[in-house]
Amino acid sequence: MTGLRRRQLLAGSMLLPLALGPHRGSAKASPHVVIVGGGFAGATAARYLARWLPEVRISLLIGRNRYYTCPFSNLAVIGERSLTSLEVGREQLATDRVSLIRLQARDFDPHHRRLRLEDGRLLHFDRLILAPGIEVLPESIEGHGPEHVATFPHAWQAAGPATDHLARRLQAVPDGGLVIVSVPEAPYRCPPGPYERASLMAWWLAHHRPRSKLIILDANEAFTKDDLFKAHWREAHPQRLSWLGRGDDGRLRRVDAGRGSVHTDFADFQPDLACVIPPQRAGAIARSADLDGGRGWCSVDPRSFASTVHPNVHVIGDAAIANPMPKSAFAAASQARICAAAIAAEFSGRQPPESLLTNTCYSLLTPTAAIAVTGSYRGTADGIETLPGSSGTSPLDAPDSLRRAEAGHARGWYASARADAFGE
Amino acid sequence: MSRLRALLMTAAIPAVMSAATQADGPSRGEVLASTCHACHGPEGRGSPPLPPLRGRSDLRTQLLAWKSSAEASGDAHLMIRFARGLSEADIDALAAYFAAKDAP
Ligand SMILES: Cc1cc2nc3c(=O)[nH]c(=O)nc-3n(C[C@H](O)[C@H](O)[C@H](O)COP(=O)(O)OP(=O)(O)OC[C@H]3O[C@@H](n4cnc5c(N)ncnc54)[C@H](O)[C@@H]3O)c2cc1C
Ligand code: HEC
Repeated sequence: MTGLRRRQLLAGSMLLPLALGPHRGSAKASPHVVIVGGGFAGATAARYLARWLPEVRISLLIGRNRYYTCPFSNLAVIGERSLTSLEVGREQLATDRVSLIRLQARDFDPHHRRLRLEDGRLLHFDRLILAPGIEVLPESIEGHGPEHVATFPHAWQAAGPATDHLARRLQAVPDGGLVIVSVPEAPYRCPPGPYERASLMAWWLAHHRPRSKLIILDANEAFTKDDLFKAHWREAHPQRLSWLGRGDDGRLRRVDAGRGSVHTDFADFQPDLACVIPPQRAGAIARSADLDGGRGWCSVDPRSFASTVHPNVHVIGDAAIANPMPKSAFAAASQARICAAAIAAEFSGRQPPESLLTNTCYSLLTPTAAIAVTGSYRGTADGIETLPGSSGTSPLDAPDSLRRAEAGHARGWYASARADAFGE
Repeated sequence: MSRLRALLMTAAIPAVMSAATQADGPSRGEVLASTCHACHGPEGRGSPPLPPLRGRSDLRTQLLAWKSSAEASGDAHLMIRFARGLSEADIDALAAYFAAKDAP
């Protein structure tokens, strides 16, 4: 079969190509890739696929909501960064090859390769990339539910107005008050995020409500960078911050929205603010067509991030099962590039280059001190392999100057990651 | 035969593809370099305080030194770990990729 023949096949498969794109009149047939979700994963996939597969046409569905980055949003919680500084406009993602569609995707049919939009229109795809991020499940905690999220704010599914609400609730904590941060059982978005938030809240309390206390109720027994976080807490907040792991009755069992109380198996707390981070699963679209096999997250081939259930559908970012990679913006962008490289290679009839996946998560201990964890990985037929010697954290015994330097590196990463994903 | 299967089958026969499409798709060097863009700025242009990588001629020496470093400590502990994840061929590809770009 010739290249020409392949192009004709592709052209023939485009049922609805012109309904929603700027490609009207384009003589050149070209594969149509639909991407759902314009966060770190989806945006990065769109930009790199356009670059690596010049003849592609991309429809990028971003929904109607504004997008604020979760990375650095914990600084906004303590008033050290404005919410507007976290917002990314996505206009720059639209190019002659990328059509930006401000609608939600509702579901898809993997066999007829059709995606249904919220307004009922159908979009035909040659490949579908799903990057919807997460959905939170407050109702899985006894006494909790979506209607009580303002009482127990989390700002975890999306930064934005919820972040501002949490910041106002922190401001309202009286001196001598109690703050609780509860952590769901892994896997969840941003493994070090709850501990970064607790560290920054404790820093804020130390400066503004010095007699207040913070308790972390944790459904896990161990967590990423735990030796570094715990060493910092011992040194900076010995009387202020306590961590209760799963083995110390730290697991949140129940909340009472009427009283604002939270409960473990054996203890009852009446905090002034309880930031209850709910258990999570992949965004709804990634759970249609049984893509998650009922598990809540999607299993993928990490060489291309093609679903193991429907190979013409790829899942990247937080919605995918990619351990030992964490659910981070850094990992999401790395997966998006590998997915783009694999799709580009396949449509141009080449072997994809061997993949290299990377992750680094910086966590702020204070607005001017940070720690990092990193790892490099290779996708194989059997899963994701950590490359020898590549994984580790900032040293435990390090001078303050290194923590300060890494807070600077974190800012450098944030600006870079934002620009690489969103073009701004 | 479904269109998808036809497509996949075609995709598996690179030898018959046209020259134009052969040029598509990133090289290993470009995929590797994109992992650096995450911190050192899009296209390796730098993202203060992280320095630019474009146009540098010392990347090979630097990455090889990091790769052979016994301990991942100090300000560059992350770079030592990244270098350990790269083969010598990877390092050559990366160094060539950035050396060929204009300095910012
Ligand atoms: C407090 C906090 C701090 C964090 N800090 C860091 C950090 O320092 N470093 C780091 O690397 N990571 C960090 N993270 C994690 C990071 O935010 C996520 O891992 C990252 O956002 C995942 O990217 P994603 O594209 O998979 O999902 P998202 O960024 O959530 O993007 C998904 C997008 O898809 C949209 N969407 C969903 N369904 C549909 C649909 N059906 N149709 C159209 N659109 C849809 C959503 O509205 C959303 O805009 C942090 C997270 C939190 C909560
Ligand atoms: C997680 C962020 C991150 C990533 C990804 C990253 N680097 Fe770095 N890089 C750093 C940090 C931090 C430093 C140290 C800066 C300092 O010492 O002030 C650094 C320093 C360097 C330096 C030394 C620069 C100088 O002038 O001293 C080089 C060269 C370099 N990196 C190359 C690379 C290459 C090549 C890649 C991709 C394989 C890469 N980096 C990926 C964070 C990163």
